[in-house]
Amino acid sequence: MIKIGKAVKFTVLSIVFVMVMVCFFSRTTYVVREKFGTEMHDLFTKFEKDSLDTIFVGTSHQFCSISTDLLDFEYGINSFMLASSGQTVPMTYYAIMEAIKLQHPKTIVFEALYCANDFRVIDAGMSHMFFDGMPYTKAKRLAINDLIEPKERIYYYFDLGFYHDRWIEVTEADFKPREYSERGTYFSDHVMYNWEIPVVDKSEKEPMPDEMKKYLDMIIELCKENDVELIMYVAPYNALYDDDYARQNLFYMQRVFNWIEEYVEPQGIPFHNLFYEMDEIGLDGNTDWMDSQHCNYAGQEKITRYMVEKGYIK
Amino acid sequence: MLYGYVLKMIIADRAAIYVNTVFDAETYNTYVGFTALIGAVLFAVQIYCDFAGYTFIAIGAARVMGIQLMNNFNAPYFATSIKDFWDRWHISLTSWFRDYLYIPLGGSRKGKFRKCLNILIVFMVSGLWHGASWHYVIWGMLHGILRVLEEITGKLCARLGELLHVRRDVFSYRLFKMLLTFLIVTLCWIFFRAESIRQALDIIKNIFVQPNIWVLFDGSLFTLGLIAKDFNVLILFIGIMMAVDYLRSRNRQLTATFCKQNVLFQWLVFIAGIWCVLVFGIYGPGYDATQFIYFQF
Repeated sequence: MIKIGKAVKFTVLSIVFVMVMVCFFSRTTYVVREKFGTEMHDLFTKFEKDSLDTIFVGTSHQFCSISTDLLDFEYGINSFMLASSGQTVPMTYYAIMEAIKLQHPKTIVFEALYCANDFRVIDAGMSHMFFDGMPYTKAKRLAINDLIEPKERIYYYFDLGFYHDRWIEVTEADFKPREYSERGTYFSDHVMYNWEIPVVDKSEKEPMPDEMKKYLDMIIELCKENDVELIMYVAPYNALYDDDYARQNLFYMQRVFNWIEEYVEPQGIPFHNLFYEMDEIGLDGNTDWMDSQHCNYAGQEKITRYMVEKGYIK
Repeated sequence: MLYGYVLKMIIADRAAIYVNTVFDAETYNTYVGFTALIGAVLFAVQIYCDFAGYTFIAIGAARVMGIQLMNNFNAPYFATSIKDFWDRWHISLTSWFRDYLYIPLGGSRKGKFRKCLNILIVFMVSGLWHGASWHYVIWGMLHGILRVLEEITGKLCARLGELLHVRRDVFSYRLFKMLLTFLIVTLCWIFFRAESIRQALDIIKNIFVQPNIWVLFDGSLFTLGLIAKDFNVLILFIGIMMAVDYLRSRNRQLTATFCKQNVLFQWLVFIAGIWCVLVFGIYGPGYDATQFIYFQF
């Protein structure tokens, strides 16, 4: 009897100890974690289940081009920005899997920049930005196992191991949530001159990388299976530098976008290549860019309004 | 076991960042005076915390499985002589050398000269045991010579102390001997850490060539891999290590004493320890996993 009592006491104490540890270390992880990007999932999970109509996925070009707040305030479109910097096509596939599981939106808007980049992941910083705020769902587990090298996986399940040396730069702000838009809208008021964006002829095409095509097909299939409308578009951007090498890279990407349009539209998926609609959008190189590739709030507003007014986003 | 991780991941691997810079084969000659001396002192700290950390982890892991292993260190940097140091450092190896080499050679039973020769042989073999390189042999020989000098001059020093009316039963005398022993051991460690005798001699020369005490104040120490906050953490944990060593040297049953405390106190210590290792430990994708130094021996 005494032995049973001791065993019960030991078990209860062990469980309480583990719970205290988990709470303590979750809080520590939150404090040292890099906040930019990782809080997106925290905001996303705060929405009531199946309450969002539209979810935006893709890269920084997505969140710099679309304002979900504007969509809500002025057009009554109930949406969320689930895009993140360096979100590759495989990552987008898992982001959509999570989005469908938690929200089952009517529409997913996929900004297709990285369809032309043959990367499963860009670098550890961007991968962590995508994964670390993500709740421990099946999508997260599948994504980590698929995209992350085995020896690195531990730091995605246990990201304190990745961020712990940020204790050096922790400030008061790290103890509080950032004042984000609750719909994940990114806001930049930085202004940088952007030179004229060169565009290839629409007839020029180049196939997308095989690996990315495989994931694009998986995205299309996933949306079909779950009866979610998939809309694809590519936001305009300039070459990274005003030189020939960067320009050739931009042209390659544009040829791939033209190929993707031809590939997905017969499958009933609209693809809006905004490189060919820049004049109608009215983007101004003097006022609408935060750098050569990303719009600031002014460009973001123009693209968002244009997308709604043209009926690309409903 | 947790204390072992604190020693290894917070102190040893943090000190290693500075030490690796100062002992770098390409650039070591650019570090002089206090910059080099601090490198040597931190290596003394690193090798102790690395090896003792590994030992504590092994002792703790064995105890989880019900196996009691012997203690391998007993506050070695509190030693007041070289003999005392070797009674406290790597006790398992020292006792092995004593039982299987020193005593079969005759130990202290065949006169003073043979005793000194046996000590020199044991320390030379100890140096060779660490690696087939001359700098290890020199490190072993230096300890052997210092041990022999202690043996020969022991009575002379005691007589001199009496003549000069030096009180030997006071704290200040013990502290002086402790610091002197630490300094000598640290200088010997330079031969152990250096990649060659030439490098070791250069580093020792560099320590004394320029007394650049200003590096302690002008922030230049913080440009050698460890920033100021890292140094603060290092110093804090070296302080904790010294406090634990002091308590362990006063009370051999420190673990048993700890286990008698209230559960809440034990939890607090465990959580604080794990937290410190996970936050201040040197690990993660930004670092190379630093192997335990003694794994190579």
